[in-house]
Amino acid sequence: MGPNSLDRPVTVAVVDDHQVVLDGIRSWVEHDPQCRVRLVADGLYVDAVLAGPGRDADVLVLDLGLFGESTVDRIGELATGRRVLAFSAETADETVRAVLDAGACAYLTKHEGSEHFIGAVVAVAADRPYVTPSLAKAILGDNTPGRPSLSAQEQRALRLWFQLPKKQNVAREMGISAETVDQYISRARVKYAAAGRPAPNKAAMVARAIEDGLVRPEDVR
Amino acid sequence: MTGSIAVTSTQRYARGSAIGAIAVAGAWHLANNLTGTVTGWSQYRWPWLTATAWLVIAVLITLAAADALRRTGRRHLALPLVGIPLLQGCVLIVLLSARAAGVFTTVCWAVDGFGWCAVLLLWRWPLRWLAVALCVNELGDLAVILATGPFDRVEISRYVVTMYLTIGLQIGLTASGRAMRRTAVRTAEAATEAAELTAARLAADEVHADRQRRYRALGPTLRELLAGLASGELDPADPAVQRRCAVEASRLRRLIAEHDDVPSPLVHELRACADLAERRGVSVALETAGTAPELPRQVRRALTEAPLHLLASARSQARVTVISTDDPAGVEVSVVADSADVTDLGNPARTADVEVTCFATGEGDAQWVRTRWTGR
Repeated sequence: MGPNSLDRPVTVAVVDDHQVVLDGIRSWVEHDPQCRVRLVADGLYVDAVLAGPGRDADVLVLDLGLFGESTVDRIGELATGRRVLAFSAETADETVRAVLDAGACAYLTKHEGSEHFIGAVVAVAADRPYVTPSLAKAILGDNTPGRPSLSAQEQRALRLWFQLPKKQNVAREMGISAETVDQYISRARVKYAAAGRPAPNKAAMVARAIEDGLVRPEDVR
Repeated sequence: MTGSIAVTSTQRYARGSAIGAIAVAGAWHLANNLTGTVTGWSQYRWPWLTATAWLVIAVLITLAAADALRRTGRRHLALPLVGIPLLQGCVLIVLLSARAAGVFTTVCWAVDGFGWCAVLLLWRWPLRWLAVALCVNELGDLAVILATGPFDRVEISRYVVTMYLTIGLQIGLTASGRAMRRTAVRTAEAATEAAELTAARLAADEVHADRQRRYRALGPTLRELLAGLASGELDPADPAVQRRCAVEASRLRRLIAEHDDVPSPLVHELRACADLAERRGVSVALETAGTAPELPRQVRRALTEAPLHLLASARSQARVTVISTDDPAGVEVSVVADSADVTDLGNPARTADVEVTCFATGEGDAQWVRTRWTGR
């Protein structure tokens, strides 16, 4: 499913029905000082983008609403055999959770784009969890019966990450390092990947987390 | 409102007098007319025809009673138009059938058998129709009596007295019933008017109390600020004064927002404060996690007081979050903003006697306050 170690830039294909968004993403990609991402295809239609060089991109960035129609139903199919990063103006917790459950690797709201786009694409390409504050919110607001149980520290980290825009501030508040904060947040996300409907992307994320030592196999059974 | 109360009371009184008239008509037809028919059976010229006339009148009384008791709906002209001639016919049959036995006997119940049934048949129609029907009947009866046999002077004078009683009684009762109904309507209208006046006065009192409460809520801080600005004691160019103005403006905005009927008042009030900050050029992100429970105004005020102060002093950016949890029930409001060192964050404890905890930390440019309410 693509490279796990990044010795080359991550390739990304983008589908969005607004040209201004596509141009914005191109600009973010071009202005990344480390040039971590290469945009190989973009366009207004899913099938058109996947018909060309976008087919083999490491990450597919997908707008959840194309020309007034939801693409949420297509995520299950698209996420089989490729990593999907949902990119949407929609912030409702139910939508975020449904999209992740369908097999999307990460969820990025449009107002988080400029800050988190590159980071999210790079993490997703390596099957690593990436949690934006709005995803933290969706996890915090989850009171469905099947939700995974999170430790007190994981919950606190998610809560502070949602409230405070900077990981250093969260770390200072918790009296731990920023890396540990990341671990707590990522672990919560991996627990979500391990729960719910099975999907290849989720399995890959869990496997990667075990490999990285983020979780122990028995934690996510 | 006036209309509905008046209509209800009219209906109530109309029903009362209708029941009275039905009772009299029914009792008279059973006690007097039936007794006469049964006891005089052998004296009638046509006993079965007389009994049929009695039955027809009984049916007419039932139909007219049902119509008079209906609360609403159109009145049917067919009822008097068919009913009155039919009734007249029946009465004449009884008169002719019992003529030989004498006009003023129990057996001949014709002369006084018309009135009460006619009252019911014309229940919903003008009083003069009834008067005309009664007079026509009496005169018709008299003509038939005179034409069909001997009728001496004493009997004629008795008939005239009876006529007076059978017309006068029905007309008098019907007229007084209608007068009572009119009085009732006027009384009801007057009562409604009085109730409306009271309601208006209570509403005015409520509005006044509300204004007083709001005035008190704004408290001395706003008055001091306005007085200072007016007297020139406070300099509008002074950042501290500007900040005080921003805080008071936010409180005013919050006070107005408190009166809106919205699903989530806490978020709505925070949004109102955020709008005000955005108007000053601050970019505010407001996000909520979970669904906030219903909180009393005092708790909401305590929760928003410190965030409001920080928002009012934000320079360019602020992030407002509301996290609500169900188990345990709790709400946490947090504001992170770039602001000069904020020392005054209001006093949530003074705003309410509820347990709202306030945390404030800051480093350099970024200030952070949180207020937390925990349900018991």
